[in-house]
Amino acid sequence: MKVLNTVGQRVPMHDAATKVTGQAQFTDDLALPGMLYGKLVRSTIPHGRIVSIDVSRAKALPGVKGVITGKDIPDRVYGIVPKAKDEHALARDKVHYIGDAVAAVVAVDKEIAEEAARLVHVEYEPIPAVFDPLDAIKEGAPLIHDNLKTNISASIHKEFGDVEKGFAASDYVFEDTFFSQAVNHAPIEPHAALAAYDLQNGDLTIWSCTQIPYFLKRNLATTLLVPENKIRVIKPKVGGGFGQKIDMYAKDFCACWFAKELGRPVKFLYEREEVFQSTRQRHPMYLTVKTGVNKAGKILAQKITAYADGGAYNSTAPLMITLSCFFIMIPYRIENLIYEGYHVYTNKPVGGAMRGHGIPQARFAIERQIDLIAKRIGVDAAEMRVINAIRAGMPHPAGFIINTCGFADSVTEAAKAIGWKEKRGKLPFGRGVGLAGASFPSGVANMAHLASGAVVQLSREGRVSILSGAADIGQGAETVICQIVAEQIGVPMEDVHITAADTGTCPLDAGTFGSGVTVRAGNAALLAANDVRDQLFSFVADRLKCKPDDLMTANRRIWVKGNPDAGMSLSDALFEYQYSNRPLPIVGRGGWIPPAEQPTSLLTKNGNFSPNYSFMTQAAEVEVDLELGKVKVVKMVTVHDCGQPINPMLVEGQLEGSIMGGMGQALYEDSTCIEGQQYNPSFLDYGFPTVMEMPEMGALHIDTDDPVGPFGAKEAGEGTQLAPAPAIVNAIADAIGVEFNRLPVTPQVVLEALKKNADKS
Amino acid sequence: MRLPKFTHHQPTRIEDAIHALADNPGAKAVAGGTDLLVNMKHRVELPPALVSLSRIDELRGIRREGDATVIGACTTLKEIQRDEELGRKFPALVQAAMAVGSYRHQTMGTLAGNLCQNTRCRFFNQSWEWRRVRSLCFKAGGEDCHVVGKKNICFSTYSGDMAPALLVLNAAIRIQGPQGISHIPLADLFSGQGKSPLALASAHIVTAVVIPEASGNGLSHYEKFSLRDSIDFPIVGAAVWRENGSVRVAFTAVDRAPVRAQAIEAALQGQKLTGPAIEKAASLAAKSVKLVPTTIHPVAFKRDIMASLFIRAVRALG
Ligand SMILES: Cc1cc2nc3c(=O)[nH]c(=O)nc-3n(C[C@H](O)[C@H](O)[C@H](O)COP(=O)(O)OP(=O)(O)OC[C@H]3O[C@@H](n4cnc5c(N)ncnc54)[C@H](O)[C@@H]3O)c2cc1C
Repeated sequence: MKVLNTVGQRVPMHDAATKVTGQAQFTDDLALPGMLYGKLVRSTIPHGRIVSIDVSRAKALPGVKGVITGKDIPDRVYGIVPKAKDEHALARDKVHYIGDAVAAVVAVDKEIAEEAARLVHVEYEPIPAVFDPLDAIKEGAPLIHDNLKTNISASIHKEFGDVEKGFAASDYVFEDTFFSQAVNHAPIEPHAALAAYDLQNGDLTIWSCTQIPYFLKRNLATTLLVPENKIRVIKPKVGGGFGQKIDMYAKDFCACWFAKELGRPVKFLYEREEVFQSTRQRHPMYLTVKTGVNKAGKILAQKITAYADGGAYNSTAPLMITLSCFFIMIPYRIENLIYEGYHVYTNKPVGGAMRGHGIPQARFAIERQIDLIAKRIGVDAAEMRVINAIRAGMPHPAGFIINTCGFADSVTEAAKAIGWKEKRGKLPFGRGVGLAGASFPSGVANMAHLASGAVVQLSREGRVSILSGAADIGQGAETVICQIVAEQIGVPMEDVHITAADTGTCPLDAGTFGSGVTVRAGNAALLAANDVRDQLFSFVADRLKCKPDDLMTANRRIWVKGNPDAGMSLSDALFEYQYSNRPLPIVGRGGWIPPAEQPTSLLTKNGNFSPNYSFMTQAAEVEVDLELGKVKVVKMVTVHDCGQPINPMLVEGQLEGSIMGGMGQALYEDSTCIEGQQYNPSFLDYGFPTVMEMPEMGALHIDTDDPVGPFGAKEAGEGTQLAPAPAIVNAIADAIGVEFNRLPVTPQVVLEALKKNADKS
Repeated sequence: MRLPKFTHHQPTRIEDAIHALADNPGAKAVAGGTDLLVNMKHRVELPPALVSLSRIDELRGIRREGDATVIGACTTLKEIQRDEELGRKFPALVQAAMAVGSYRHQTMGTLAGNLCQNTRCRFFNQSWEWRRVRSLCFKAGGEDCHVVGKKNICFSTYSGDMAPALLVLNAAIRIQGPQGISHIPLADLFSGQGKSPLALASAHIVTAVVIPEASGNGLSHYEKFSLRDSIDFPIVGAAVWRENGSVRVAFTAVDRAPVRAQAIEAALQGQKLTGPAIEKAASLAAKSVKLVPTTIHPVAFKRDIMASLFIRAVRALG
């Protein structure tokens, strides 16, 4: 096994000190001379036609520098999935939900901008609205988007294997329905954008808290009607995204538009309320799962019908519903599957990618049903998971290639860690354990833009500078990339510096989504670092009279393998390199695109979706307060196969965050609406769990050595968000014998259920 | 969200504060600001002037005056928690102080500010932009109540944690106005009206809370129910006090004012606190309150929680 110095180490995030001392600059920390402040005017009705917009009073307010409506800007739609674009920066003829942007103002200060926004008068002709996808698909439901004949904006109908035969061969067939609620990403940093325009050469620069600078650039180009090469997107520090910062928003478009029109820098910053109401949320989803099993608990066929509440626009609709389908067949081997999924418009806040992206809802349904079935047919729920586990090398019905897979082991280990044998079904009433499994892709193998590039420079002084397109949104992408480069060049972390996510200076990158950064951008950085090392080694090998392949490097030293004394310091090597008349800095380049013989986005055809797949099982122990209905998560363990963790501390950060997120989804959070209006748009009322609610946490690792990921790494970001919620609800069932198939499980529903059971007995 | 414009006064003497309040129509006192400033950002309270009480030394501190413990109005909740004697004599008070909001609310928030905090409702505690989707509610200056769908009525809920503890401790309030100092029972501080929940005349401030030493002879406990252990207002809060045969019980977050649970108290008068007696009394918990769904929590659920919380609080007395 290779000895690693930096990779695999618990290295602190490279920007941790600047963050904890408040010196790190987020978008709203930036200010430019002459900067104007923007504010959006938003729809106050859930559905209606815009009859007129009177901006005269706003325009007349001293200090106001511009007011625009949807009619003042190009009639261009944007969206993250090209064929599903359906959103205007500012509504043109119709508003589709409360919070839809209808006009934008800019002024010399924030107060005037706010006042001006209040002075814009919009007259609407209301249209009946619909708030539930099951109502929205009914005959005669109000049509939300005029260009479609129904409210179903994306759907998928897939059959794998022979489902009829599978059901016929089953000893039992069960059908259950599940519901996952809307939850908000609630990143700590609200959305912001700052744009500046160079009047001389027509360059437009935008600083935006985005997860995907290059997609944003493209969407800005197509909506502003400005050539892509005239737009530079810079991502400053980002305070969390969780998928919410994948989309482009009115603030990005409007900041650019005004900057260009007025020749002055313009900043937009969303209120927390706007983040809740007018950005994105996890799709609420109804799933009906019909499963056929044999007596041992082996799943022989599944049929799934899913209705996702998309809210007013598509965002990632087709991809979301597709992921929800294909990831049913992993981590369990499901040979026969029918999946029918619908993304349905409603007059509500918009669903979008959120950590797990369509898969958590499916996972909740499946993992809950496995527990239900295990109980009904009298097999052990953990064992049933092992029986059905997919394993490395097994064929996947849609063509996923599973090179490495620690899933079955993760179930066994998680069960052991939570004390399954001693506790399951054996704890006093009110206390219980449960577990759930999951798998996630390490990025998307092929869609437009899905390559990463990196440039690594080694200077005369031994300073390493990386250019990478990767977007660090707080997860530590930059740190991981620095570790990979430091490892290959043999320098400590403090010698490595990175400039990332600036489309004007950095190479192309797909951005942060689908958990692809470490594998994709990490591989690009690895190749670029190897390029530098090769150049240096070929020179040093000459000097040391050996072959480049025989050289080793670490701790700013290069030596001949097996002979540590035959070597030189990096500093001496660079000195001699310079005086041998070679050009400095040494520059290396790398580009990486996931290997895929049959590239696929899955939207149209099957294939290997991702370079590799992570696997995990999470197990929970809970205690239910039988008088007040409150569920306390006492302990949560994760057993994880993410290949080689590049930075175990950052992986743990992801695990802990996923537990908090899973607890939120299972027990605390509900982004509810009153007649289409998001009702709890503050951190007080929304009520996600805090550090006070966190349980004892444990993490164990299943070692696998993936052939594709850098140093064998697989994703460790989104995947862990899939299993915590079902694990917790499975534990609740063990604790009090109540099977909850609807989220969230609040004290109120627990008490109601306990009462009902008490009445029965 | 940004604060609206207002003038700011920062007197160092009580009399000057009262003058400033009297001289500036619509002015409000501000202590820690953790309740008022949020409402101002939401534009549901728009005082043209704020009179800060934070520089008035006389309003701070915990002292003994004869047969009473007197806590200055601007004493912070953290200071109350740290006072060992208070903890010994009036545990409910300290437990309530520890239950308020988060660390920051406890270090900034004051005792009088907590008692005088505004009532809350899911249609009221929202921004101007959020509220404009509907007509202005009665409490915010309009006519309609969006909770019950009626006019000129308001059921916004009193949600302070300190009041129930002080109610069962039989606390009184010391008030100072242009005419001088007076004392009233704490219960009389609350009007019972959702729209203007405080019965405090203009240019009057609370200067201290007075707790009879005798209350220290009994046992007391405060129990709060909220989803999170931090930040959240109570979904229900229950305080109990017991000495020999008499019991005092009070609830918060169940009506427009904090309430003494008279039905429970009467039922338990002179009774031994046996399991069945407590259970029976608990069923009377919601008797003296008007529960209205001003939060997402349904009335039936809150009723159940009131009963359970009362039982738990009594049990905690030992
Ligand atoms: C996120 C959040 C969570 C919270 N959670 C809780 C909670 O769990 N429990 C709880 O009880 N409260 C909670 N609060 C409310 C508030 O923080 C506390 O009630 C705090 O104790 C208020 O004290 P203050 O000094 O900051 O009051 P201020 O905001 O300064 O004043 C509140 C009101 O009292 C009046 N006032 C203040 N002092 C006097 C005086 N001496 N005489 C007359 N009137 C006066 C003011 O005019 C104002 O109307 C929360 C607030 C927030 C924002």
